[in-house]
Amino acid sequence: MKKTRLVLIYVLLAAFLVACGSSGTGSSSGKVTVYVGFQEDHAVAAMEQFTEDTGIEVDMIRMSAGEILAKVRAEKDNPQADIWYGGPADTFVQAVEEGLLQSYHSPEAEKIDPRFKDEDGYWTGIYVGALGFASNKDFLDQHGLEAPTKWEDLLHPAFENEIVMAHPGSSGTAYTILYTVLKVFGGEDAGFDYLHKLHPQVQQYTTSGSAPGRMVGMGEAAVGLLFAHDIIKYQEEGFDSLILTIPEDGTGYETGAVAIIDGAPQSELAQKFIDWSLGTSAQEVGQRTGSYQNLTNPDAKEPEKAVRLEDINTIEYDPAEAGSQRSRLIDKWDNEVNN
Amino acid sequence: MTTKSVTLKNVTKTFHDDNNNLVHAVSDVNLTIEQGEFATLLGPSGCGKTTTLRMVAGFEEVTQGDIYFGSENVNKISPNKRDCTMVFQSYALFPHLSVFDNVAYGLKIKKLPKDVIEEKVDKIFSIMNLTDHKTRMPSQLSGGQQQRVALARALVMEPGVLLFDEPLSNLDAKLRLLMRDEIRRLQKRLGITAIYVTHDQSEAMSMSDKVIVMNNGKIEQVGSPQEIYQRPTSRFVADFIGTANFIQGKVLGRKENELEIQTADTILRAAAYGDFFEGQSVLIVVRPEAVRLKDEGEGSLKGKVTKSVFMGQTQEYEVDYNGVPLQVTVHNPMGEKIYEVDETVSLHFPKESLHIIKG
Amino acid sequence: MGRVKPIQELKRLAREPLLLTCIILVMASLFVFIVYPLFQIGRTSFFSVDGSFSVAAYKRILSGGNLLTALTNSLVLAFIVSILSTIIAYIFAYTIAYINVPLKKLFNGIAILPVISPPFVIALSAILLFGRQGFISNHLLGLQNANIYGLNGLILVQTLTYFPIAFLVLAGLLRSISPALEEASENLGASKLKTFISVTLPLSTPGIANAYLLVFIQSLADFGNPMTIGGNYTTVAREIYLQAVGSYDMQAGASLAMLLLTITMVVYAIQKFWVGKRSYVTVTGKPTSGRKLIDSGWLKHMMFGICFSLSVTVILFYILVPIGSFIQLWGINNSFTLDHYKYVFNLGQKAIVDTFTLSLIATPIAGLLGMIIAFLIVRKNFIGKKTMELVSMLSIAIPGTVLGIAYILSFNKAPLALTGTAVIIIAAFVVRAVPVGIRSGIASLQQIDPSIEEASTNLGANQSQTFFGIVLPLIKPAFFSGLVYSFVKSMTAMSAVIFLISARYNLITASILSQVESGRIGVASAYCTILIIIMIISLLILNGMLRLFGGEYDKKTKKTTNNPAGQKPLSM
Repeated sequence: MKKTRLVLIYVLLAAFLVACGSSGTGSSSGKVTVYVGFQEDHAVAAMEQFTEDTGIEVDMIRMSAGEILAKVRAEKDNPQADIWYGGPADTFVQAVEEGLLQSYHSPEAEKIDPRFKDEDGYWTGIYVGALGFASNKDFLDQHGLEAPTKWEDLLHPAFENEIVMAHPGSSGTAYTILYTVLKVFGGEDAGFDYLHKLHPQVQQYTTSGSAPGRMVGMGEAAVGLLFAHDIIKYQEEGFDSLILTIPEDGTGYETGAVAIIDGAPQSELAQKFIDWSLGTSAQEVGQRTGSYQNLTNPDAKEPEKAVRLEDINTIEYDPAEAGSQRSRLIDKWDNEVNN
Repeated sequence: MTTKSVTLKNVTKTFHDDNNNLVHAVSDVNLTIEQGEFATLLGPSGCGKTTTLRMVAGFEEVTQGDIYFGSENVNKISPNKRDCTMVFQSYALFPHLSVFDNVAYGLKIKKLPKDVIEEKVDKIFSIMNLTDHKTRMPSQLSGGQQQRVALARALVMEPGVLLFDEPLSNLDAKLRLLMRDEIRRLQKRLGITAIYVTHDQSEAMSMSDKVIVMNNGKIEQVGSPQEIYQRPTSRFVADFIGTANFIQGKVLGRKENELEIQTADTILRAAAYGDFFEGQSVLIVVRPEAVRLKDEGEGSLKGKVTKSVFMGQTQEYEVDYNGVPLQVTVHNPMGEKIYEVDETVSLHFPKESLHIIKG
Repeated sequence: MGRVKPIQELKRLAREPLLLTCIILVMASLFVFIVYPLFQIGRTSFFSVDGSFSVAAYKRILSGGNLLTALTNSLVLAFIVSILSTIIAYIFAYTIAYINVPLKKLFNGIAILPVISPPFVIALSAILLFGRQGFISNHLLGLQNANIYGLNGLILVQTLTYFPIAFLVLAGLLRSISPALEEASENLGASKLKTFISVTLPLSTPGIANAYLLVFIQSLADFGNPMTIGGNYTTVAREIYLQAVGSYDMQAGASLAMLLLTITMVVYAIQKFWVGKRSYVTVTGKPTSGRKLIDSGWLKHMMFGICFSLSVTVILFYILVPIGSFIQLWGINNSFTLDHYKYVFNLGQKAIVDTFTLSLIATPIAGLLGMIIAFLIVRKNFIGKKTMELVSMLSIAIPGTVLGIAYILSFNKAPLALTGTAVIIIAAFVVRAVPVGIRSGIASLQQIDPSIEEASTNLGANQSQTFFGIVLPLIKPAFFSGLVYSFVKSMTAMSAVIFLISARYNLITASILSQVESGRIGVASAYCTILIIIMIISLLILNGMLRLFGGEYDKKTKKTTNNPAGQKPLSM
């Protein structure tokens, strides 16, 4: 009996020690904590590359951009992470407005096009990706349709309840779509008018921005709205029935950004991380794991499969404006469209 | 083994019941139990006897008053540090421990060396005839064996005071008689102070040096079994211990050590224990076996038989005496005349078997 | 023995420092990890970001729109699922108790299976079976636009997930209805049907109500299934998450959480205090013997048919996930692959190790805490005991999402800055698991003679010696079933901890959710399969430990330790 009791006490003690130990150490020294907005495999490869290049250890968790913003906000008084890596710049802009980020002018950032970075240095672009339509070939064949090439094409009756996109509240991709639509249709009223018409076509608003591509690939929906580079990635994974088209009447793009979180426990290491992330080594990781964004560092080797921004009709995407309007527009969308 | 006397001084225990009323479970109990004495707390259920015992053991806090083991006040001593061990009504053997481990439990808690423990346990086992059952689990034993293990477990601790909480109530009648003797024998042999709680008067009578009769949280009477039976001081005690008939009367006067009592139809004499004054209402206690029945006309006191039952060893009567039913027991009925129902008999109350209490 | 005066009580406690410390510690942890967080939710729901009092969020919810829809959707869903689950559970329970059919062991086992499975398995299988590329919808039925996402899918998945809870309640109840009552009815001339309607059914009504309400709470609080298969049918638990994490509208999230909490608390209170008192049959866990089982006729065949086909369905749902984990792309490219496992082992190792470690830490804490609280409640008298009992039992009705959001609201600032630490996750695990341990602990303590503990005290043992040497071994079955439950619950926990994961501590369930969200069904299935395997192995080890530590008295001393803990540790 004594033995059992001893074992129990020992286990309990150990449990408490582990628990206390882990809370006590708070932010472990010499480790950067990163919230990553990439797809998981890209994220893991990037972190490995970072450790290999710099010898600095990383703790990371992958979340969607909206989730990262929420988490950073929640942890405002007790920041747990140093770096926010990936995800559309508009979410970063909103974070800047709320004082959640820390300014840092990386020497590496000088090469980067001013379109793709914050002039005050709160965030810096690491990649750029345009929005596209992912269509299911089988569905199109069965219904004798062409892949949509204009936003209006999505309102075709055959696509009723067949379109998937993410929820703008949780997904940066979806917010980029929302903002793009307003620009393409030349104003908020006309844009929302379109979104109203689009709503009954939408089968599901997913949480994650890239999920629609997979659902279309699986044949669960006919058309998905998401970033072109994500569509290409799915094609590479074996979804042969996916067709990528870029809206000819104008498409938006995201600037994937990186930033240091205000109050980062490891701000020195965080700066090293930013420097690294803007360099060629970091930027070229993506294409090895099937992420085909355009890169912001002009010296980095662009992935061959990437859609070139020069070849398509892009709208004037102003991350600052997009970011500052984000909360209001999402609320409006939630209340007027999605109910 | 240094056995200890136990003294209770003005011990009171109050509870709040579920309606938050104050309930006196035990009130103002004063009692001394001498070293080596076997004392029994006797009373009907709810009389406070178990609460008193549990206060001695420390399971219940004393609301007021003091309890002493020897000269040491134990009020503030927690139950696991008191020098007393208890035999529980349900035996409370640890079902997950073997007989040996049950008995050794307290010694192990005391951190005695292993060989000492084994020696002590073996000794008590041989005294109690338990050696064969050493490795068994409690559930594999009969009720009587379990009882003996419980006793062994308490005795092996060589406590200053041994406590019993109705330990025999779960045994069948024959075993109960056997265990009475065994407990008494062991207690005498070890010379240990024992406090025993029971509601069974024959148990109390047969085992105790001292019987403490309790009722409604108070001590009614303390005395040897004989005193309690033959000279009860209250109607409750007389009624509770054995069967008693009560005859109402008034004190006429005192002659030497005897009182003259005027009853409804006669004057009876009896020895006086205690203070009585002329004109006082009293009750005369007559035990059923003390009443003599004779044929009608052989005495002045008349009664009518209302019930007559043959019980084997005895013949039990109920006799209507001036409107009061009297219980009468006749031993060895084989040699006696049997009266039938409705027969009129004459009643005789031998002076030496009458006892007078306040009415 | 009635209550004792408070002052006296304090004096007595002061003399038992260990007990006092114990009570204070338990009270403090209940306060910090249950009461305070719930209070924080309430506060947040009434104060806007700038700190001024406002009921705007409630107005917003109740004035219609998305959030109100979520609320009504959840209620509709819970209503339907509870009815279906209760009916199915009754059929199962009735068949097992009343009809002589083969495969009873299987039916019993099937009914328990979903209770211990991770939250996604059935939803994932539903997608594999009934999705666009679903095996049944597409390949067998040739449907082109089957849509499993939404209300129908949720009803299917939740019913399969929660009917076991109803089954455990009903099986115990039906087993303890005395056959004599039914025989009496038949003896008085009633037909079998009449007997069922006028005796059996009325006797089982409290159980039915109980089962219904328990499932109702579960369905309302469910997070995993709506996330996986809810589609556009928003439910309240999911909406809390989206509000809190997606839009970061904490006030809206908190208000919604308060509403959900209120509903579940009310339902729980009805179940516990109203239905509970109406029970005609006391469930002893002892099967009443001697019922003459129905052995022939259409009823037997029909009931067997229903149970059998349901069991096959459940088995199918479970087999599908491991199969799916080896398929390249379900429905598109059905070739065999180990890629998903490679993916999991490359990227998911940390989540697996973290989940396992944290669960392993939480398990003994929850197990022991449950027994200690049960012990305090059953055996000790102290001020605040009623509160302790109420808080620890009510916590069973706190939906995971509510607890999660409460924790991020409460533990962000010093002195309780626990976000990002292991402590907060462990605390969530423990709080979620401990009520069941307490319940089985109380049930088995009540069957143990208190004088056994007094005997130990009387022989010189102090409080902790008595607790560890006597009490704990005696309630070992309850203790171990509490351990098993805690472990299972922690390994599969999601709704609460989804808010609490961090870069340092990630959990398998969160990884699965993220895979499900991005539509990687294969990887999600691989995670689920690994999780199930880990759980099975751990449960086998735990079981082995139970055997190892379980003394021989288990078999013999049914009288003192016969406890129903092993009977129904898994119901709510």
